[in-house]
Amino acid sequence: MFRYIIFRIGAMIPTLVLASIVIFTIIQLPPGDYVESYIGELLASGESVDLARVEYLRAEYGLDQPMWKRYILWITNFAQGDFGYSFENQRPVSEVVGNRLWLTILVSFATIILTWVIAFPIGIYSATHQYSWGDYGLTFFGLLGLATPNFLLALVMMYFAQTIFGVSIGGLMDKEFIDQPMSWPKFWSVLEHLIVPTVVIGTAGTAAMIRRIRANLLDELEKQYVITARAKGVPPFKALVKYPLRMSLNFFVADIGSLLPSIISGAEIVSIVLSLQTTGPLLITALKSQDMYLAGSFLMFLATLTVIGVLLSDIALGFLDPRIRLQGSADK
Amino acid sequence: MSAVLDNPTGTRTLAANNGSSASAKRTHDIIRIDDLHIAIDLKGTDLDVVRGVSFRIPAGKTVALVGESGSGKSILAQSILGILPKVARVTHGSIWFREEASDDPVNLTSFADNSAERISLRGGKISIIFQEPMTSLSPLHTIGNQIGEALQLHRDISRKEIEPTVVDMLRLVGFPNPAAAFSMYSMELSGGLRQRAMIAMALVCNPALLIADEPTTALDVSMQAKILSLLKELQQKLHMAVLLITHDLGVVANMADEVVVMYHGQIMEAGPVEAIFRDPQHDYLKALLNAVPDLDMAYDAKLESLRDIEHEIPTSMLRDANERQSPPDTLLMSVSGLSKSFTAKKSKGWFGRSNTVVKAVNNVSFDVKRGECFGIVGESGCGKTTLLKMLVRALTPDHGNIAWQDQDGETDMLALDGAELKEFRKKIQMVFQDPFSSLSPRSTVLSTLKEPMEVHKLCNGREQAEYAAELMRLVGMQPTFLGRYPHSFSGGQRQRIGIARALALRPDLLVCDEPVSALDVSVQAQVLNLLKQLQSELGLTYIFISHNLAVVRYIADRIAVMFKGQIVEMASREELFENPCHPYTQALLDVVPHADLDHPLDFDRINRDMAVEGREWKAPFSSVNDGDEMEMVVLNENHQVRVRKGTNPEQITS
Repeated sequence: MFRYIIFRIGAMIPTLVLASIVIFTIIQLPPGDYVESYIGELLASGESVDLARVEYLRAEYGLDQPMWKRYILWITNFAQGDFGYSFENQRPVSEVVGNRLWLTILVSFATIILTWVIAFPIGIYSATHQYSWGDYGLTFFGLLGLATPNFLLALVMMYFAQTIFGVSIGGLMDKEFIDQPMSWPKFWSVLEHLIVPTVVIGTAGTAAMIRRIRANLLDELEKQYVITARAKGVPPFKALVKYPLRMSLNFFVADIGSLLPSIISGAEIVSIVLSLQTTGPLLITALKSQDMYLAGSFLMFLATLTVIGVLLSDIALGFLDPRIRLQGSADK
Repeated sequence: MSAVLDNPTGTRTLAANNGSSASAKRTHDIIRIDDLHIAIDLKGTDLDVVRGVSFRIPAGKTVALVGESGSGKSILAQSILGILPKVARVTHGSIWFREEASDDPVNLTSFADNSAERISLRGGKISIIFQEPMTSLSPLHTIGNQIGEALQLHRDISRKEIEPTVVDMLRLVGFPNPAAAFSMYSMELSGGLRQRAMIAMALVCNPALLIADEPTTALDVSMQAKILSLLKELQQKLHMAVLLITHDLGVVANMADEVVVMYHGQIMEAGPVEAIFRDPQHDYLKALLNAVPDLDMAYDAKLESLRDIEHEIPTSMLRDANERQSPPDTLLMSVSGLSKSFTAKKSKGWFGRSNTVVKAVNNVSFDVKRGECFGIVGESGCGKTTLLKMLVRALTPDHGNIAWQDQDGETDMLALDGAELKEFRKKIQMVFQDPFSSLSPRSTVLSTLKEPMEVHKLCNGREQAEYAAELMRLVGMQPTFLGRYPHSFSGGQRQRIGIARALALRPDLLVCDEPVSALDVSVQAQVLNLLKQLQSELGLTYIFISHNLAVVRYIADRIAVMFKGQIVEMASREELFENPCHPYTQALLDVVPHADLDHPLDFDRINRDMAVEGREWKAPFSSVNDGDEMEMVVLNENHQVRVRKGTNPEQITS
């Protein structure tokens, strides 16, 4: 196991190098660069542009260098913790992202907890009462949740909140608290505003989670060792939790890996619709305006989190499941 | 009882609980079943699977419940325990349970399955062991945890006492290192040890009744004999009643005091074991007795299957068969010096791992002649499946040669590659052991049968469908079944579909890996007879692997006995069974249970053998010094045996 972890950490490095090359290439794919789109913007707003200033900007940001040089520069800085400079915001990337990070994490965590709290009991109920009315009903709602696009739900909820309750639910707090230090009223306001985004972002995830818990648990419920447990006289609820539920958790643990990046990425589209101050809209605007260091570093950050997340869930699986920990692999 | 478990560490609770019951004479019935009906709910309509069954289980005795799969015997056992599947329920009748003669009988069916009364009985007073030792234990919990759980649930025992009690129990069921086994996981144990762990779990609370649901069906003969011997020994020590559910009449003859024969949810015949075997009355029982291949039957006798199947040979295949006819004793496949080793990487906890090299197949040589059936016998783990996989080119051997002879001349099978290999694969096809997992549950029979033709681009779609229908008739099934999925077929029918699939490419050689070991006796006879007929009608050659000597004796012409990756004896069928030379062959023959009361298993001897880990054979059969070379010595033209190099054949036979 120890060797395995060392090996896995070693294998992360080439993975990340590959990911960084792909990310950098993709960001560079659209024609032009930030300066060009900046000029385009200036021209569109009727301002005149000085060519000398353009050249100066290019040289300043290193955009006149060949691509591989820019890549080397970016990645070495990234590895040293310098994520580059956002052209658009005129601030270092770490600052731009950092401002929004805590709110993003808050929204994501609230969503994940909500998803688990709702999905687990329902999934277990559906599996243990397969083909009952309860199962059918919950399945119906689950499929409804799965099939509804999040942003649509967000729009619908915004509309009804406005017309029926007369409240605006956009944003993550009331306007007067923005950029204010944390206080009880502000905290309360954040909690209030959290409800709708959490429900909206969580629906599809919850529905998918219910279906997966149900399917995985159903697979396990019929297994012989569950019958063994019942035959041993284990009370029904304990027999469910200790054996099949524990077994069906593997998929769930494996999922934790992909949760890590999604916590940070902050449900882009819904965030735009609900005008949430999370990192999601930031990434989108950065990609649109070719703010290359912001977009690149952010994507790279997500890639790193994905790789770490997968490693963490693999290690957790090794702890939880002796079959993964102990099984020797024979070579063919 | 107390004598067995009397040790100061932790079994006092066991002994105290049963000291009184052991002294009391148990002549009463522990279980009495009265006119029991069980129905399964099939989408709104009830299907009666147990229809008016009544019998008793006397305390301390063994009652064997015999019947084919689908006869309702397992569901009956589940109803005694109260672990019926959701769709099944008892519709009528009662199950009376009385632990002691002085107790008032309790009607178990008057309680719900999950009532406190029944939960306390399960695992405490009545326990069960299942057929599948591989899946009966949870892979995520240690053996000790799972056995200890039963103790915790049913005995008033402190946490500290659990481990020593469980370790004692593991020792009792024959674990070589019980203390270490306590914290092991089930996947670290062999099938035999897992079944022992199951037995330990069932017996740790010292139940009055043990239900053994096909306890040895999934094990090979030698392991079966050991487990049966263990059960018998424990039954005497712990004074419990055993309900033995099995379809193997050989097991019944060796274990049971009373026999109940079930068919389609009803009891056909019941009585003491003597009466059942010496004087069977009911036609079904007689038929069942005739369907079992036995080591004593005549070599040319035909098994009488309970339900024979009619099959027809498509004309196109008959033509093939005629072409295939060739003079007897033509060589088809020649295997020489085949070896394969595996490196088992075993992780040792969190740090480091050890590599052990296992010689799965070690220098194996034999010839297969056209039109014969070559049988390979051995325990599980002897390397027979690895050998098979090399013969079909699924594994690449480390050393050795496989040569193939046919009308196109000789082919070096191991040199084939790419398109040549793909073309060659048509000549050898395989039939698998498990009819349930070897068919894709998501493919209809039609697409299963068409797949080999599609892979090899034979015929167009229409012709393929027509040919699939012919294949179905070939194995005695209706072409109308082609649209169905595997789950709607019984084990025997699925195995026939597997055979049809193997025949789809019109192979010369059919390699059968334990094709009947997962089937009931009656169906087994049916499939064996089908294989036999197909062989002669289509001029096929078989390599037939089995751990069941009686089955191999029934179908094979020549037989090789494998032990630890090597062939230790190879002879024609009559020669091997009349004149077995190698001590391993003799030992294998000794552990086959006969469906005959005059041929009981020698349990004392099996127990003695069990004590010796790693067999030591007498002089010429094992090397005295490590350096001694072993070789196959020819006794006569039909008989070879593995002995020390330079041994005189006369020395062996004397």
